[in-house]
Amino acid sequence: MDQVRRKVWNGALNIQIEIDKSLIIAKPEDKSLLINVRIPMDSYMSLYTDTILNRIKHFLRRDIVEVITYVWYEANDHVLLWNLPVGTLYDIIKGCEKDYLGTEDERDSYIKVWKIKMRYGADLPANHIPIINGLKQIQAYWMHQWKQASFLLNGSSKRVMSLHMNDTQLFWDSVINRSLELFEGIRSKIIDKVPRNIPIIIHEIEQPDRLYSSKDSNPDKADTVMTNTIGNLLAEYYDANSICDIKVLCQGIVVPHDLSLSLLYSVMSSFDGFLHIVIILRTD
Amino acid sequence: MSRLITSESDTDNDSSRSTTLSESSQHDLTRDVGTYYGVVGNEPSITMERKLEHYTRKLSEVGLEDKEDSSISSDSELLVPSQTKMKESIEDIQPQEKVQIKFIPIGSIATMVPTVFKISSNQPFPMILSFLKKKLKIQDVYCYINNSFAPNPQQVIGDLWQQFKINDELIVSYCGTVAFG
Repeated sequence: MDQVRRKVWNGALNIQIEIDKSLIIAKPEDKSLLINVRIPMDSYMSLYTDTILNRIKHFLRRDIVEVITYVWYEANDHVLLWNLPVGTLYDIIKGCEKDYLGTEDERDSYIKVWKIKMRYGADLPANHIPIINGLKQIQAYWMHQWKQASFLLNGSSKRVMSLHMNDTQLFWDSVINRSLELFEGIRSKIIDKVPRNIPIIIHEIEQPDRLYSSKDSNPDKADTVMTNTIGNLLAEYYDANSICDIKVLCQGIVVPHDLSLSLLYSVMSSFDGFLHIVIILRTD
Repeated sequence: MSRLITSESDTDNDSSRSTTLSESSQHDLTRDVGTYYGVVGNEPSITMERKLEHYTRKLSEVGLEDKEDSSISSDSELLVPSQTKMKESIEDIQPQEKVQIKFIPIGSIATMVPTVFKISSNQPFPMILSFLKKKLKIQDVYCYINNSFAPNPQQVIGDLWQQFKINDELIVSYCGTVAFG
């Protein structure tokens, strides 16, 4: 179990970012400026914007502080919302591609790189939350996500709201510094061994995200076996005939429909307290 | 990957008109989201303000401005979700059904009268911010569910009501400043 958690936590994506030409001074032959980075899947893209801009600061037309608010990311003409985990964004955008996972030989023989664009402009896309207050704003958003998750897990947000200020800061620092031990130590103060509900966000490309909570546990009985599965969840949203054509992705892995949601949450929940699952409707 | 799609229209003209209104609403909501997470009183916010005025003028020109609140009134619908392959409900929410929202003021901010409103379940949460600002005639408002957390701006009101309702009402506390950090 711990090994899986560690793999999820350490999972990272190789990303090649094409910088918007209006952001930089012209390059010879109008070439694009490309930056290669490796970003943890279980984090927000916006946490790394400052670092990325610092790497290209000699090419920028303006100071970083002037442009950072007007920057966002896109892939395959879809806006990448910074407030979703990077891995979830990857699953949403790339999950429908046939070679998403590739064959075993392919996985061993070449490095996969996700090509995205850093866009810049005063007209920010709809649904993109403008980042004006840097990391503090991102931290505040993340804490509210945890409070919401805690409400579903425990019936109230008290466990998050009553965390000592030091613990709250350490919790956030563990995300920034990628310290799993520290993160798990504070996370365990928020989540019971048998949570009331499991907070789940269901993503599907070009569809609104859906908030779902699995309600099959009984907090009065610690030995209750949770039987709610991915298949049960799908049955609530999709027609029975189409369920067999649905591929479910979580942290970059195709998960079977008969997998228990509580098991999935315990090993694959994200750093914001939610279990993000991506629905891919097979069209072939 | 939330998005808003306009309702079906009878004519091409109607269709283009609805799209304009929907886009305006989206920009309006984006601005709301900015202030929601503490983005006020600086240059980007002023730029957004100008945009808002621009779109308000546009709305006035096509004579649709007042319809923005129709999602909150009991009659017509302005924005409906895209046609989706998902079933619309988990339990009892039907497409375009309205849910009850109870507004509770925090601190010295004005009280909403009445305190309970019916709002379309398919609206994104920032619609509530726009509604409160308009009703209370204030520039900034911060909202919290069950005196605990500020929801993700992409979340749909119906989902929040489904998960956090108390006696069939979603309790939304509001304040002129940050109340729960």
